[in-house]
Amino acid sequence: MYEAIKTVVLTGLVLISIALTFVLWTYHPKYDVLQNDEYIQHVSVSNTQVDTAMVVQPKQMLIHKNGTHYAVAEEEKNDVLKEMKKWTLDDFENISSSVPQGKFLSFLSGKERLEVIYPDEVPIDIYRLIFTIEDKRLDGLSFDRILVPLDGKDKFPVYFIATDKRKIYQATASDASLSLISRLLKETNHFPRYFAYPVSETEQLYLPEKEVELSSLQYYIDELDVDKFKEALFSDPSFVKKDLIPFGEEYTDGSRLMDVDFLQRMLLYVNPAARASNMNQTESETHFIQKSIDFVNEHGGWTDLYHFARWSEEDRKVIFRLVVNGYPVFNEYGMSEIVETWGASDLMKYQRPLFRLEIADRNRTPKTLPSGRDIVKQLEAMKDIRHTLVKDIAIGYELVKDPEREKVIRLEPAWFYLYGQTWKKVTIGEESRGGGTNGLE
Amino acid sequence: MDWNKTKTIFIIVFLILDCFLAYQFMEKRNSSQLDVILETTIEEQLEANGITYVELPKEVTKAVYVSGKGRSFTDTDAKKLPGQKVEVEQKTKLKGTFTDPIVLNVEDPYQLREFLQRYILNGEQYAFWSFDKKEGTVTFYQVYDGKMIYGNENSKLVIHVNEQKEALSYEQTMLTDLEKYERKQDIVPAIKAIETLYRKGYLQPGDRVTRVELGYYGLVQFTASQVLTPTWHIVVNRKEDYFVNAFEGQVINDQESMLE
Repeated sequence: MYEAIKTVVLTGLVLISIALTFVLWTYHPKYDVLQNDEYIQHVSVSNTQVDTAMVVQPKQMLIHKNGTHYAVAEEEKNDVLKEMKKWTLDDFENISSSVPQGKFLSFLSGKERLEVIYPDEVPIDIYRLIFTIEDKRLDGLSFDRILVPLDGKDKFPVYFIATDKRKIYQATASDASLSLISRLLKETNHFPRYFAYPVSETEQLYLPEKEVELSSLQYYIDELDVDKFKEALFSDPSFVKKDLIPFGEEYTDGSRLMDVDFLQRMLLYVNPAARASNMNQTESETHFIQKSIDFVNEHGGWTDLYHFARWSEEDRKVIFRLVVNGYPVFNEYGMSEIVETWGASDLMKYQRPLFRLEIADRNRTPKTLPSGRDIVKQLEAMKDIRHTLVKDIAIGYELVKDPEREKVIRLEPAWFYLYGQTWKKVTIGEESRGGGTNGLE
Repeated sequence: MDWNKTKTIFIIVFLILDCFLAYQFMEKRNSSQLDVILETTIEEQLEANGITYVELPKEVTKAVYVSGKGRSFTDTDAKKLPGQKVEVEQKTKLKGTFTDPIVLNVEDPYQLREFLQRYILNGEQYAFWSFDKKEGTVTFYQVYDGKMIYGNENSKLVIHVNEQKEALSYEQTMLTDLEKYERKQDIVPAIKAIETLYRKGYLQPGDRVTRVELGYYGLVQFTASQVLTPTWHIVVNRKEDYFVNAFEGQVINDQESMLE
């Protein structure tokens, strides 16, 4: 009897020891689910995300009617693009050779037509993301102008033109409606009249006939968080070393470098390892213009409105430019540009402003800019420039830091011309005598 | 070998083992609970330091920037005001001198209000800020949308009083065309603003936050207009005033006051 109790007690003790051992091994304290977002490794400078069609925008849209040119206003531009997006474009055909020498500018005689002009040649792969292009061939082509004759019904030709390369492709638009554009065609008298100014045998610019009213703007800027860029650009931010340099900071992890310039409020990121020698990347790869847009999207870097401005195939470089009220913004230090240079597959260089236009001044100072005709006259009278290098003429804003107030920048409307690779301000009469700065590097 | 004795030994051994395991288990559980406790909230940290505060405003979570322009005073403005000689200085500053000194009781809000309405142009838009006995000045700031515009030279009313607390003269500036920006943004909660003061060392153990209210502070002066940003005004021990930008959360420093 006594022994039986001992057996039961022993069995009980053995079972308890097994149970305790098991609990001890598997015990996990119940923690609350972490709700702190900071633990999630997703760095975002802003919440803005853009798509290709928002960034790659035409710089001008014109309606040609009986030899007169009208510029489509900013609001209508988007409606037209929306309508064009619905067209199905197919059967591209190279008709460059059928256009006789010297007739490139006027190969479509006197008809009513819509012309969409992009700031640079845009690769067909990018157009595929903006419009509906069925044609699967067309590799490596790029165009800077689209011309649409406005007398078709639901099937009509659309011309894609590369002015520099003197190439014209004819595509056919089907399931297409021209209703909105036809309506604009009737209302052209609302639009400002432009005139054509040929700059080369294949290219002409369109400039306003009349003087242009535009306001000087002031903005209070918001500085972007450098730490967020550090976390977004370096693969392991904890290895990054920070050094102070004159007027700035330098971050490096041994292979990549990020420079912060406090004077111009600019950021420069360099990753030399990306300059791999094997440039024979596969053709199916995403175009690097698209990669550039995606890259900035990844860390929410589209902090203001930036539009695609220029790119270079050889340098694998893309430039996006700040746009305010539909006008491009220029600055000699690049404070209004996002520039990306790509290696074989990775980003090699990334340069961008470290600020955002936060608050606009409500009080605007109106300014009258001379007409396009006056500017052309003025440019032609300039003796110290080579006129064949003038590639483009445009109205824009010059971004200048306010000399007295630290976090204020001004946007001064002015005429600019693209001279070779750089935009320069056209200085007007008394301004140049005053010795104002005009070089925009 | 006696199985009965072995059993007894086994019972003792397992008893010891179980006690040990149970102890281990308790140890493990306690230590993990300690980890959780280590992370304390700002409220607890303040409490531990004996810093107390009044009830904090919680209903406001969003605010907007406001822009305004310095008001230009004209002679017609000046003519409307009774019992005083008024001159306009540099267009935006009104200087008045009372023909007879007027009794001004700083402690009586009702009397102050009446005085402002009677003798001061748009006086109902100003609210009492401070009384400096030594200098003999009473300072008022303009109020917009129920919120005071703190420390702003462009929306200030200073009344000079004599030793009998009688108003002798005054200087007035005013912001006009006050307009809200469209974009509503989240503001930092009042407790965060207090936390910032605490972390920067402005709050000492035993301090009491006696007042917390939302107002405006000048952020940037453009050529013609200026922009005001929502700002927490925090009073410590009834005498020290601190301002914390309610959008960006940083302490606005008086030494480098943002707008002159």
